[in-house]
Amino acid sequence: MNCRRSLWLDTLALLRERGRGHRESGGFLLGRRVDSLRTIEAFLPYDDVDPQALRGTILFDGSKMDVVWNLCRRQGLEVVADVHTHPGGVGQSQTDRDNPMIPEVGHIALIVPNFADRAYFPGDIGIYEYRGRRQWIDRSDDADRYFAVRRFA
Amino acid sequence: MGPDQNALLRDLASPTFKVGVRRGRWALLGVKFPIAMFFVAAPVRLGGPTGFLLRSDCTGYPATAPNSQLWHGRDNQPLADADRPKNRQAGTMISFSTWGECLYHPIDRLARSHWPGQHEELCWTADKTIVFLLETVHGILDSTDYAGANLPTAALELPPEFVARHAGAAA
Amino acid sequence: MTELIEEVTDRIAVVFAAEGQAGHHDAEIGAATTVKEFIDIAVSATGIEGLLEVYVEDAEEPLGHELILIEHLSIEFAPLHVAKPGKIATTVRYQGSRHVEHAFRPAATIAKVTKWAVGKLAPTEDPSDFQLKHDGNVLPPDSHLGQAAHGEKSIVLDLVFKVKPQG
Repeated sequence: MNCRRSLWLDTLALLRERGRGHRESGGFLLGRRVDSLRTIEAFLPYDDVDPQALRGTILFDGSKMDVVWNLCRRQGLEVVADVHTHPGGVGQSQTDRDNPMIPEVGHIALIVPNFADRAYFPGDIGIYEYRGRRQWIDRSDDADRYFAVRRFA
Repeated sequence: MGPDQNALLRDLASPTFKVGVRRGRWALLGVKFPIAMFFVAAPVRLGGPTGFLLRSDCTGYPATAPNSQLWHGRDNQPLADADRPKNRQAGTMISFSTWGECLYHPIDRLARSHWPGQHEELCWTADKTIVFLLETVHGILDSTDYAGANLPTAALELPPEFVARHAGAAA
Repeated sequence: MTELIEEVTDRIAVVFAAEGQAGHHDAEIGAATTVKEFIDIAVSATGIEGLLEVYVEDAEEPLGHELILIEHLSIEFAPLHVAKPGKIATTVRYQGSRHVEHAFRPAATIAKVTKWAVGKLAPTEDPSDFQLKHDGNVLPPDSHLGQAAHGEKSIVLDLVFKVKPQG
């Protein structure tokens, strides 16, 4: 999965701002998929779609996905990953494991520590790949191969 | 009999309400207006109950949204938190939390102000019927998020005022 | 020998939904009522002209007009569906440009359409975690597709989730 460095930094800044230092925040990473390569092109915060989603932990109203699908259709994008913050570390909670934001094999869930208080990059974040039926593969230690944040020419 | 009571009894006699009863989704246990007592079915879970009692205050029905709580029949009071439907993380399901004397959900008269201008399709409106309330509660339980509950059998008994006085009286 | 002619009139209550209408209707039929006669009852009860087909819920084919209705009611209770002829071309939209299409009978329950769509679009998941929306409204799973389509023979639905906690 690829992401432009400037977009990744903007995403972290939005997570930090929405979390206000004391609550979890998150959103959809929209982009394109060509074969197995995912490229992130935009970030859509959960609370832009469901203003009540951030309550300490995140409780997103999944019945509002038609709004997300509409936006994706208009821009020719799809949800390639999701990202959310934790107060502490980057391990998936049982809630995270039981509730893939997009229940599709290959969907990537990213977890950023410490309410995104500063810039974190692959190697410092949680990267999890969904395999269906609430099974996940932890790719966090293999970050270089799974998620590249780089400046594009 | 006021117009709200008339309207409720009319909707309880409607074919759509009876379809839900015959499909086993819910049942009417009694009406002592403005209170209506229902049984709402829950999906099968290991050690879980067949369903829960739902007590609804239907004052001002249908212009006013009902106010409902999960109920303990024998003790005739709101269900204790420990007995309420649990989610997969072993916490109480958010719509059934003891946040207030209501369902924590936009459909409830007491909770709807918590989501101003949001979730319009979940809110009660004057054109809704009691079926909408029961479909909503049944739908919350009918999901993989519902993991079951430790419901004591006594909780499903009818509260005294709903028990027929004479043996053989129609339910 | 006593000649006792007893005329027993058995009236049977049936419940049906009509294409294009929410809610249900009660009707009474006799032991010998044909499907065609039942259609006339349904047209009177609903005021909808052009109703010509009667389905058992989730059935693929309508009942023949000359059949005796009570012989074809399902053992498990389910409302009948009365509709104008023809299937409903159904498109279910999901993420990006993904969508699936199938022509369903008006008597298909929303639960059946949901299960089919999830099987195509999210095959590893449990259909009870999904809902279908039409024009922004969540459809009750027990209702019939024909009721949501408001009498049209095509419909576009969105496959969405229920509440998604993430902590």
